[in-house]
Amino acid sequence: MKITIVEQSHKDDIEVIIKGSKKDKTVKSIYQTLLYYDTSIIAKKAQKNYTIELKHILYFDTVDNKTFAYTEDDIYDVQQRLYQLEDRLENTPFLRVNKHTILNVKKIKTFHSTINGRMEAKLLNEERIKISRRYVPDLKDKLGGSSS
Amino acid sequence: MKQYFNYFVKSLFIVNLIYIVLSFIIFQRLNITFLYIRLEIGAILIALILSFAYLIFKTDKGNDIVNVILAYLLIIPSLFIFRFNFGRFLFRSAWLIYILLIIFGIIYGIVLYVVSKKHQEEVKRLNELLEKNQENHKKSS
Repeated sequence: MKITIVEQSHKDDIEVIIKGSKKDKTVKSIYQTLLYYDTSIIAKKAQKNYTIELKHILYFDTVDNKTFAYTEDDIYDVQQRLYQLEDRLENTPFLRVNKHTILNVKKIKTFHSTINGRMEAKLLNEERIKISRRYVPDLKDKLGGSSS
Repeated sequence: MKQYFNYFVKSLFIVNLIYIVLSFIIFQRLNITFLYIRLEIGAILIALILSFAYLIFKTDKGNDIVNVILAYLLIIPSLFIFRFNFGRFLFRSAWLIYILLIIFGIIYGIVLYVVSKKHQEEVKRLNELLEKNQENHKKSS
């Protein structure tokens, strides 16, 4: 892979051009990473609107039909529904892991299984998120393994 | 509640199926018929117990080892209902129910072991992928 940085100090916006096949795994991975660093969402906290970058979000969760974004220190109210977020974050490290949670795969520390067959992801902030078996193949895909 | 009803319907179907087969075998061999209402009440009670035990087994709350043991203890009364329904035809000796309890416990243990082993392998694979991803990320940054 050839990486070139063209010095343009007068420009505020960074422009990234990826040259390669759209189907290529590396291209996909670069695209996902760029999207992850470039996308932000608007969320509310105490009647104030905030723009939160995706890289700061641990997971999205739905409680009583309300969607919340969880960062390391705060919880924000998100106006979008979980399925809308799922569509929007399709090409990012975010993935639906159970009926009411979309998890940032980059924030997972380890995976655990319990004696009763439950699977959990331990996050960087030591929080535990339940992973439904239904979403394990997608999770493997997202982590770069085959789903079979 | 919806989930409990879902488990209940499935358990009732399976218990009814077992009851029909057993009643048929007993009828064929001993020419004895059972009172339908008595069998059905028994089947409903067993299905209620089984679905409740499964709900406890699967719950996210509490310690998972305690939940597994509690689920097994909850299943035990269903065996007594079973004996009450088919008593003298299937359990000629009183101690047979205890043998059945032990056999049931062993099967429960084996199933748990096999399932948890399978899940542990899956978790191991996921952890490997995660580690690989983290290494790649470190290299690139």
